[in-house]
Amino acid sequence: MNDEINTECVIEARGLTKVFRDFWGRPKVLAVNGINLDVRRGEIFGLLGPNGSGKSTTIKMILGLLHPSSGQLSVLGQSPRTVSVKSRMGFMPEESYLYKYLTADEILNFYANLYGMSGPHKTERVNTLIEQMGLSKARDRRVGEFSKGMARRIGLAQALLNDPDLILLDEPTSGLDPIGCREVKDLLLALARQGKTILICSHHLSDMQDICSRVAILLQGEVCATGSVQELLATPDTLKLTLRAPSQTTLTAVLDLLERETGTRPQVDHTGRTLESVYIETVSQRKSAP
Amino acid sequence: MSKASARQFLALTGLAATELFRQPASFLLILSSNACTILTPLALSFQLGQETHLALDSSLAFEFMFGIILAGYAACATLHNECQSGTILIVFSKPVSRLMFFLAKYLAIALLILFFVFCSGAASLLAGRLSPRNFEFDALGLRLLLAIPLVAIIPAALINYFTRRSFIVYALMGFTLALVATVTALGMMNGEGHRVAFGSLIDWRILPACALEGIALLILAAIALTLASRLTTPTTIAILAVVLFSGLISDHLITLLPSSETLRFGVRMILPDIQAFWPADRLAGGESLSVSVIAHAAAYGVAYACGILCLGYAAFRNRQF
Repeated sequence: MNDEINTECVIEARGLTKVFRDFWGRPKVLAVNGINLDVRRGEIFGLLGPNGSGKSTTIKMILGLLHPSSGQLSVLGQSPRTVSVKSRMGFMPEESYLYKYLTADEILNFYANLYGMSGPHKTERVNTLIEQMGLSKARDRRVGEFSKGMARRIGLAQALLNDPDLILLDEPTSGLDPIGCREVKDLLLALARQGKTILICSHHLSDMQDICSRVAILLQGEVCATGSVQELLATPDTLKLTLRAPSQTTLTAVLDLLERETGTRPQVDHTGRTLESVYIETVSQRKSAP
Repeated sequence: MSKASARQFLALTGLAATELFRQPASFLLILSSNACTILTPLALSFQLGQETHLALDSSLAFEFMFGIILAGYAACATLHNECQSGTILIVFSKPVSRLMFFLAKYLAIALLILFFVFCSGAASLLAGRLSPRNFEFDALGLRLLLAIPLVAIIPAALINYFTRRSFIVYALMGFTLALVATVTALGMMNGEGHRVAFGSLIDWRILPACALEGIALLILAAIALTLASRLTTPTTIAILAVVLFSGLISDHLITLLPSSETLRFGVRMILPDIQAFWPADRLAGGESLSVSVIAHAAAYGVAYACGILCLGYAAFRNRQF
């Protein structure tokens, strides 16, 4: 049963193409060139690629903001231009496109109204998200006065207002500090565990590696590589062995043995912590100190 | 319309209207229009008894002139800027139909235009009341006029300083209240400060005339919104000005065309008949605008605005972002 659910395609694209045309209808830019994409329910799918590779164009087509020039695109089993399908979707754009003169509270209430939410359910949802995003103290401040990181948090909150089945995120960790980044990644993993499908565009490859189950790499509008992160990262004939440091004699003997077996001398490194883990540990300790 | 749809529509209209009323440019345009309307009669002395007539003419002209700038500006501020700034991306990622979005924007602009027409009506009443009679200015009235900007700006500035609330919104509210209070006060007294029957010195015929122009401005607002999905503010206002002046001389323009009935009918359908909304000639002849004249113009205005909005929506429906 679980397998059936997991293989259900939430986004299905076949030969998806987008050509931008000039005023006279002549082709100007081929932004997306016949891509095939299957995003399954409950997975975090990453769309990687350099600037201008067609990632944002693809997301906009999935949202129905751009119309494909050719090809088939189905989102949650419907055309992306169907208005009702958007009640099951949440979107956070690359830039924080927010009404700068509204407060955090007003902006979330406005978007909640657009989802048709009302009464205690709306209030509860807005309050929960404001708290979850760590914006309780700033809820009555205008969004125009927010730092980039705070604006990104509001952007993420509005994308989650309707408890969507499909979440589209364009650079979700951009502008966030490392702790915020970690919180967002943990939140996305928790959402995926609840069965939400998440499609992310990002340049932060380490973040994508941390959370994505599958990725597609786009280049000049075409999918160059696709597959699970484990598949793409695996090098079948190479192993990494981590162990408590033995004595020098034992180490030399083991290395000699392995060199005779494989024909190459194994490389020995001391395992180190990442700068991210040191940062998070230091800041957390300072914050929790009395 | 379901409750959820009604909530969406109200949210979209409310936000667009709030945005428009908070714009400094909206306040400045309304203030400038009313200042020109009220102050121009003071420069129109020595007109051999035609002072009041000229005051009314100029106030109607100012309403049109500032009205098209406001309509063009508001349409672009609410639609074009939303497309440019990217906020529309988030709105259309929600279950919002483009028709609802487009109509909500129009309703917000219409609310601003109606507010502008209300202020213009009050200013025009003041202009008629304060125009010099027998080469004499109403000194008491002029003093009351000077108080209007002070009443509008000082409380708004204090509210903004102490509570950080929008200066523009409170200045606009203060200005409107001061305008209405001045009309009421001057309606009850003559130039020497003696009490008279309320409104006996005011030419009330200007109010239906302003309303008539308001209907024309609502048509022009529909055209502005249609243009604003693609064009910038200066271009939109320039096109509105051309439409306004072509509409004012549409009868004459049609006589210049070849005598093909089909062509003339086509041009008559496309160009708004702004002459039907220009009441100055009737007022100059001493006539009042009858209810049937206004009802006829309103019916034409509604039909024309609906037609334009349908065209605008057809263009906006397939707009890509």
